[in-house]
Amino acid sequence: MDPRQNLKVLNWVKLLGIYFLIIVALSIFYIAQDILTPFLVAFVFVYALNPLADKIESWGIKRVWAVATIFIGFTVLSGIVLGLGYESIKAELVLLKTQIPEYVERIKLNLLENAARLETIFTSMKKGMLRNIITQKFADLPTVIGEKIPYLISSLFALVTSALIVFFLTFFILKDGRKFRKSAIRVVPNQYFETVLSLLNEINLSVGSYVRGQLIDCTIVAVLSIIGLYLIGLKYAIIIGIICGITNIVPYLGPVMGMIPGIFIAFIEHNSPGMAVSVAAVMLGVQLIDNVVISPLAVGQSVDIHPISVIIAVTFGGALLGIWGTLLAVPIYCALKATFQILYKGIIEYGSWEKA
Amino acid sequence: MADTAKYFFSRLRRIFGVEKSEIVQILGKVPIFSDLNLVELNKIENITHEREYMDGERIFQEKEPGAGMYIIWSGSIKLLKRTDSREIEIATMYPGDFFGEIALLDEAPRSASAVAVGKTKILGFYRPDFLGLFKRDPRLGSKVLFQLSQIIAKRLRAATETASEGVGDGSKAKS
Repeated sequence: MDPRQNLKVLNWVKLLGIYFLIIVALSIFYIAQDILTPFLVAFVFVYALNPLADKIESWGIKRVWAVATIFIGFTVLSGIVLGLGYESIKAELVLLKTQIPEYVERIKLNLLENAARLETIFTSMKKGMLRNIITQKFADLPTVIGEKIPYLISSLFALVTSALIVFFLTFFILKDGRKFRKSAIRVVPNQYFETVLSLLNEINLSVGSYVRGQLIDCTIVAVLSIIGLYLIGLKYAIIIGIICGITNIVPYLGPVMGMIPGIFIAFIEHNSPGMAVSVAAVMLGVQLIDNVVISPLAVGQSVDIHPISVIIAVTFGGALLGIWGTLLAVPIYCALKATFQILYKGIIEYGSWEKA
Repeated sequence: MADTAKYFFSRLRRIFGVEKSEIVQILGKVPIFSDLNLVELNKIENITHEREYMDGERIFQEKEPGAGMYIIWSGSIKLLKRTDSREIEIATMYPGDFFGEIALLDEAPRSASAVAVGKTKILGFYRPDFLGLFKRDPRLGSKVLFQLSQIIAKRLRAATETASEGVGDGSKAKS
């Protein structure tokens, strides 16, 4: 083999070696997901707030005070929003709480009715067996829920703890992120320094613009959904609108997931297929506005991912990490894509000049 | 007594952030940062990276995309350009000199390779950090950019003059 060919093989080995290391790192992340999830969530917040911190800093204010201003402002703002929306949100929650037993009862009756119908069709079935099972299961429901309560409380504590951790992480990463980055890449060997630096920058840009775009997009979708659902007179319009906004973070599948609770309420509460159709129409309308007007402006062309890649990423994310997985799948995918592209460019395309 | 006073003043300067670190002293001598004050130089220091190279180690390679400029802290660097068969040395640079500044503006491939001569310490100032600085401190960013354009303009004028002298008798080009 001539030396040039040799070099090419060597470069490929190098590239695959680095890819392998990345996969090992991801596996470690998967094993330690409980510990690392707050970090990921904090990073999402950091990406969302960083431009704001930069903007305040550009007015000549020190970084610490810029970040502190954001945190104080955020607390005050959420206080105002909660204060204003508290009554209506509370009213909806209380209503929902009192209605749940009734829903359960109604579902039970519905099931029993269907069971009776099934028994008349399939005569070979034992009389009353299906109905007995249903009554039994529903009678057990309070005990099942009762058994889950300690678990619920402990997970509530865990949630509060993680929220605090995320809060502090966000603050310090926002304040000292540049210093962390500088000392982290100090250890990179000279040969790869420029590549790693451009790589970090590329990841920053693509993940950052995706996260910020999605957050703006979701807020607008939530507001539009609330207005639309309120206009057609659906109960719990605010809560369902907020759910729509949150599920909208997951591309393509999110809007469908967001539609389910709305249609469920339309059937159970309003008991009318007409309402369900209106709910679906409102949400389709919101999606139309979102995809035609908002999304191109907010998310833009900056994130160039094929729909199929998105769906595969979201499915894998969901299977591996649950809800967080579906939410974080696309940003992680963006980061990996940028990494693989730059490494390929750096090692295979430009590496061939080395010592040639 | 004099030592105590010296120590006291240096502590005081450090507390107020007006102490000139070694890096700031080097940066202040680079033409691109020549009209920055101490506070601004400290901000530049925050986004530079210190790198150390062994004898013969490559800082960057000709034709690779550039990521930023370098300022020599100690040691020296030689710039090599590849011709058909071999690499020829086009310049040698010493502490305080800088090279690769065009890479601050775009990602075009490097026009030459840089190799360390002896153990060399350099400061790297990279495009992503420079662009970030622009967002956080536009005034400082434009000062640096202005100096950078002046240097490039001077070089372009020199290049044009050499080129036109080569073509005509040179009398028209100088007007």
